[in-house]
Amino acid sequence: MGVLESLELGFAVAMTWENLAYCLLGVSVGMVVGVLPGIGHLAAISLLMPLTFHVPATAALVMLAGIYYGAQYGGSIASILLNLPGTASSAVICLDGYPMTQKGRAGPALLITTIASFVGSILSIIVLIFMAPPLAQLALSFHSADYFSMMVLGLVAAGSISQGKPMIGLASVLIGLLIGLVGIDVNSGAMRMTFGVPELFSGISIIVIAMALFGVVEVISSIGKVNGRARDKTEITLRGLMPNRKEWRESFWPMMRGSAVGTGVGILPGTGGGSMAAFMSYAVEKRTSRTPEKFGTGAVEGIAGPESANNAAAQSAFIPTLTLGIPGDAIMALMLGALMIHGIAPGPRVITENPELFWGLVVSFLIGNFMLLILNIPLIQFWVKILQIPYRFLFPAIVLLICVGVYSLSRSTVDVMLVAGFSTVGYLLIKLGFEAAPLLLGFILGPMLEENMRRSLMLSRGDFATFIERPISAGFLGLAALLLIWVIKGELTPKTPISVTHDV
Amino acid sequence: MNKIISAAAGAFLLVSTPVFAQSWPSQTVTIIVPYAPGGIADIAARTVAEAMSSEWGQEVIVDNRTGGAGFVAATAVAMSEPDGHTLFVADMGVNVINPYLFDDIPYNPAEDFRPITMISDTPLVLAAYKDAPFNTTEEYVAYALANPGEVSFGSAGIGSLNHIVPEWINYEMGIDAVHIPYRGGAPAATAVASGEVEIGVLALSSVGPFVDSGDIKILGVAREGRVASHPDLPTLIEGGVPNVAAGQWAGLFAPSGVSDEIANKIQADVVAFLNSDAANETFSARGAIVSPMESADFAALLDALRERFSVIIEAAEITPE
Repeated sequence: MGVLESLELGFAVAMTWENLAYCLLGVSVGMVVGVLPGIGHLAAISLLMPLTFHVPATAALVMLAGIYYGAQYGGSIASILLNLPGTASSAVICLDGYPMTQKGRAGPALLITTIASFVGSILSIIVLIFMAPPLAQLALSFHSADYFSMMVLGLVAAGSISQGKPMIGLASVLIGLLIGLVGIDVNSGAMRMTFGVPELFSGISIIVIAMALFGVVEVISSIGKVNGRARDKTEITLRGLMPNRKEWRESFWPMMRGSAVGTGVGILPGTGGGSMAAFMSYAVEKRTSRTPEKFGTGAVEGIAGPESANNAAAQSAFIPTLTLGIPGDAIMALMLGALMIHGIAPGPRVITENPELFWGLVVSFLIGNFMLLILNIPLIQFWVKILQIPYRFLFPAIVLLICVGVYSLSRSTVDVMLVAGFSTVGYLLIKLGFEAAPLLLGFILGPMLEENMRRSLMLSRGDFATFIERPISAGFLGLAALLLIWVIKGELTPKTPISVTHDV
Repeated sequence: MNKIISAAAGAFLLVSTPVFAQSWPSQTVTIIVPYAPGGIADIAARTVAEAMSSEWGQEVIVDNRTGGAGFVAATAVAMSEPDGHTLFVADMGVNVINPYLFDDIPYNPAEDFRPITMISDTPLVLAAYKDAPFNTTEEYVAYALANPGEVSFGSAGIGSLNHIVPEWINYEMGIDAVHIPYRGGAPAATAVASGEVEIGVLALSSVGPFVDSGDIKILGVAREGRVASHPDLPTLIEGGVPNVAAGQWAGLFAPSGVSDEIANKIQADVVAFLNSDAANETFSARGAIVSPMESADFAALLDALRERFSVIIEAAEITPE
């Protein structure tokens, strides 16, 4: 079946009133879930689970998928306005989004992330349309050694995410790594740092870490500030929301690169999805930028790239979920469940055996993203008004939302206590110069590095040559080595003064 | 006086028991599931919950209490009021394997839960990568015996059924195949499909798509008898591996203090539903077989499994340390 006939079939399925309605419901719920800090997939699942049993498989999937990618749009809103990531994958957006708000550019930042979300999603969907079957085969050719080497490249590339002293950046990564070790070790089954608490057996949720280190720490830091409002200077006119020409120009290529990075990361199952994609994209932007010192102080590139990346990853993550049956997270698992209830087994042949489902879903992604764009742009002026709420109302509300959201993860008070604990420790660490972003990166990458490295060595019966014998793995390691040499060379050669003047 | 009290007590007992049974369920019934939504245990619980909501005239809800290898959910059920308003859908891991796997376990599956009925059973198959140098169970055993320590098998994690059944094959045949754990059944199936590991004992439903695409071949099914939907698949026992038969079942349990009357009513109503065509369709679409049982038979099966698995887990030295 050619691409045109496939799309025609997809439109025929997706444009029915029923599927359009489920798509709208899904993306709306997703957006709300994304905006509210911490309130994540599980709350949405319990709300909409009963529905998926009674509607046709395609409609159920269209709706659940809408929640999934819709949440990516909403996630960056609180990151930008309040330094509070709505979803784990939008933690990176805090790095430059919040400084933009502090400079009075909240409106443009929100508009750029909305456009970036849209661009990332659409480019990823286009890749999905033309290349889904071969990409599924590509994911199947990745072995543990290849995943390991890819993570090494990721770690080297993302080393630049640190903004302060390199040693403290490294220490931050290591602390993240240690926190990532908590739980039952996959390879040996050993309990690590669980202290006999069953809630810790499956590890600490990334949401807990992100909420504590970005959200609550920000709230604690603002205690005692005389200024009663987060930002009362922001212009709330349509003009004030529009990015200027320089901001538009600076965000174009980051969106393109971010979309490419996100699409690539999303295809590989079990790589942490959007968070990993956003981190990689941020690293790429900082690396390729001629003004890397601008990052962390409100660089447009620092939000446009990662935001495109996490949305692109959210769309391309459907490739492994549908064609390999590997769920990336709770929502993906639920979607697989919904499919199986209707007797459709995800697998390499799902595209040929259930074309109306696959293409209907893909076209619904297109429609859903247009809906999100239309829903989001008018809402920006309302979101910006959040900044006019006095601290004494806003901050208790945020802390309450975080508590409810984190509790909803697995209905466990242990998670809420963990947020409290990590916030206290996190506040001290950040006051001492440690950084939240490298810590989060260590937390995401560490366990995956370890798991894949040990699995590769078990498979090779202890032979380290496995990492250079496999061409994919060798390629990644080679790139990592080149990057490392480039970085070290850059550090050793005396810096030429960077011209700060821009042609505006 | 004593007479009056005993008479009153007797009358109270006579009257109260039927009243109690009639009034059950007097409130929402919660079925606790130790896993996230989407898996077979969750689907089994939800299917039963939906049918029983209309049967009992009370809402029956599913509560996914994930975490801690099922400890969180199991402990919650064990400590709940045994009035039949809290039920438990659990599997082999929580009910049979955990006590032999962990040194310190906060519940006792044999004593804390009363088996009601099995709900569904998902057959496990011995699956191999398409280019693996064996096509039948016999050939696999011969190859593995000739090449000790060379073959790797993937599993859904330490102590999972996909880990223990291959160890069981090792134990019965004297094979030395190496265990490679993954994060769940789907990544393990993908590892077999991509040839990262040669074999795996996996759910028939999760390897099905890869068999259709030609990436995986099935050598045999780990069951006493052949599967009705795949009559041409020989069992492992037919392939010369004695005893090895275990499915990935989901069963319904109540806290052990529940009264006989309530337990029997739940058993009768759930089994009646499981015998319906609707139930059969729901589960076969998911690659599972509906398995209604008498409570006593289910209990006997659990005892037999516990005995067998304690021996295998010890022999294979499966420990999480």
